[in-house]
Amino acid sequence: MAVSALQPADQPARAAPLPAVVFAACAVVLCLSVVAIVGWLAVAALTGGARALNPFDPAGVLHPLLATAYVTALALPLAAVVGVFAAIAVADVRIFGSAAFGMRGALGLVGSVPTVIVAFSVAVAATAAGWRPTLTGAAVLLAVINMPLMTSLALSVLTQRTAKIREAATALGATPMFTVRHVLLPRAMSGLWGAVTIVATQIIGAAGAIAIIAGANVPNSTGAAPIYAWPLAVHVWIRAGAVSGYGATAAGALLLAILIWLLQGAARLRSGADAGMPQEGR
Amino acid sequence: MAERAPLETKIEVNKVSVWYGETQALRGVTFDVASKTTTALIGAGGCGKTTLLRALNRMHDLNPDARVQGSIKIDGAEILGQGVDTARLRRSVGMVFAHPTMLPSSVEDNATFGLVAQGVRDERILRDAAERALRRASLWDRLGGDLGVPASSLPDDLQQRLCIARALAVDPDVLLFDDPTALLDPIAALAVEDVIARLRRDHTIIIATNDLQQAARLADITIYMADAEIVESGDTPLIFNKPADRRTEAFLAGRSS
Repeated sequence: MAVSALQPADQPARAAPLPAVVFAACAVVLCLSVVAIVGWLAVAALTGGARALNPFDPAGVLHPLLATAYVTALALPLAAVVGVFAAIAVADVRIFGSAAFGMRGALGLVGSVPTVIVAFSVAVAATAAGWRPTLTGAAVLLAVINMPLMTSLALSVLTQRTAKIREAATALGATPMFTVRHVLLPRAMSGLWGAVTIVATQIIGAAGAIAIIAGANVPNSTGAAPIYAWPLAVHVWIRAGAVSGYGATAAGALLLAILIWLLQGAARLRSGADAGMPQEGR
Repeated sequence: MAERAPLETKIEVNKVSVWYGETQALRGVTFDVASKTTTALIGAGGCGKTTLLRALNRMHDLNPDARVQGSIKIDGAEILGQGVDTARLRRSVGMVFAHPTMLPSSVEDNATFGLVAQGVRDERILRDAAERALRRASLWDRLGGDLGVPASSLPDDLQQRLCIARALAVDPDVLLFDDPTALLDPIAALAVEDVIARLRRDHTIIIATNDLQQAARLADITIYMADAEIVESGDTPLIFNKPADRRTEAFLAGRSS
């Protein structure tokens, strides 16, 4: 008998925790993206000839794809690891005590702001600070703005229909971390992979699309011009030159964030919170 | 007739109150439980039976909105304060719930989960412990030694017996049963009740039940609860035949007091 034997292999087949329709939609989007890229490559090859496919030509197709791969490879593990650990911390208040409540609040706050606002704020702050944008910076930014999504997906996978299992394990003397490691994580593994896939599509969508659209502006190396690999709205907004200064744009972003937080807070107050009554007999 | 020798006190519950948020679910409950006796908690749904049971092994810690006040001592040691090793407490005070929840693994892994959580890794010790616990829960013969089957594939009554077995595997002094036969048909319920009856001489048992006949059959002491309080407690035959409080009498007669 294996010690870490609480593997899901012997469980009866069950539906994936995340709705199948979400996976189906992601698959469709990915397929369409592949078709679009292949089509674009074909058009580029016909019109631009060898230049578009020349790996040493900055205007070629290889650089945007490499930039996307680089950003995704860096951002995805960061978002996934931090997101899963944050979800574990938030899932059971006993693991990190009152810090879990603070983390839950912070996640709610950050998660309630549209990612474009977060990205815009960070881009403005970074540019104002004189930092030279890099692909690595873009990857970190994309990881940060996708962490709330990853955390909420992982949290829903970890806590979905697990209250009684957690209760049973606890009653047998298992610590919260033991329960997470030996019961909840193995059980949630397929759902977590689904969550990582969804976040990957977000990152690829944000980085890849812009990198391809930016085309020749994407640098040869990882050392320059990642601003184009940031979300399209950020790129357009910053490059449009419609703002008089970074102070004004930062204030505008802050104002938007505050407005969104106020609306989110009002919505949460209206929806009300349960008093945490146990579901079974009292 | 010879008088019964005084029994050693195992559990002392003193002025215990429990709140869920702003709602008080238990009001200043006080009682003692003697070692190796069986105590039944009876009362209408929502009277606080489950809340009281969950206080005895700190299961309320799982609910951030639950707040417990008062004192509970087991073998003279306070269990409600800070610094209590709750994992160790729960191995000493096992609990079986109304709904048999299987951990997503085999019968053997379920039976030994508590030991593995405790740090036991020796395969032989684990296997022996599993066999011993399953035999005590009258499950070993039913399974024919096939412990690799998924626990969730067992019928409900065998799942409940497995819950009892895995609680027994860590060798608890006290066993708490929260309406353990509520979801079973009468025949399966009697089989589980029979297992509990055979555990009485080795363990201190507290059972919350909505089945009055079950309480009468199993318990040495019966506690009747209503409105989050203890109304009356005493020897089971006395409570069932000569209740002192008219609310107890009304409940046992199936009338609203």
